[in-house]
Amino acid sequence: MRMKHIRMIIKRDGSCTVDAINFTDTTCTQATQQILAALSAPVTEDRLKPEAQRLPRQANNRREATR
Amino acid sequence: MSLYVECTPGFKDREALIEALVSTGFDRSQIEIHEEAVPLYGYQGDERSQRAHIVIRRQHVGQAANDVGWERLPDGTYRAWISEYDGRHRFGPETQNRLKQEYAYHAVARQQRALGRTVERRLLDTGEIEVVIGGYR
Repeated sequence: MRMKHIRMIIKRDGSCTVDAINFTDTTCTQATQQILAALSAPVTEDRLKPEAQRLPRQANNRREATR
Repeated sequence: MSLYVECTPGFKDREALIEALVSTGFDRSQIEIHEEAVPLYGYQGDERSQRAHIVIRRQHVGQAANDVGWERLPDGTYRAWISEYDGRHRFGPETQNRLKQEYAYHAVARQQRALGRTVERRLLDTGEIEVVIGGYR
């Protein structure tokens, strides 16, 4: 698996998506904010990715299953 | 943990803006850089009311073109002065979008390389630019 990194897509109209990948802690927020500062960019959308949001429940399900 | 953000960049890094202009086909020698804003001139040599800190003179923009420029505003961002005529010719929507794309890349690449990170760039079939930044600990 690739190390933690940022994947940024610059669209044809100049707008950007910034995706922090494989970060294991809140440094992903810091890394993303750094990029946004370089872009002097107001954020139009900001969210935890769905798979990240599902992880705690899946982990809990696994714990419950082993009880 | 992963975070996904969408944003629209603004021009604030002078050097990144200059590099973006070079990426869209201008020679660095054609780009004037001024600490104080200077007047822009129209295609007949008439002085316009607009002033700018980064200027490309009309002879480098095209036939019957006007000067184009970027004026640094009090908040540090740059405002483009592109005439309606030039907005339909050399600086049409496609070029202006390309400039925004290149600016975004150069602004981020300059910042991240200064922080010791690796920056890889790839042009996708869709015309989008993919940038992968690594070297996080």
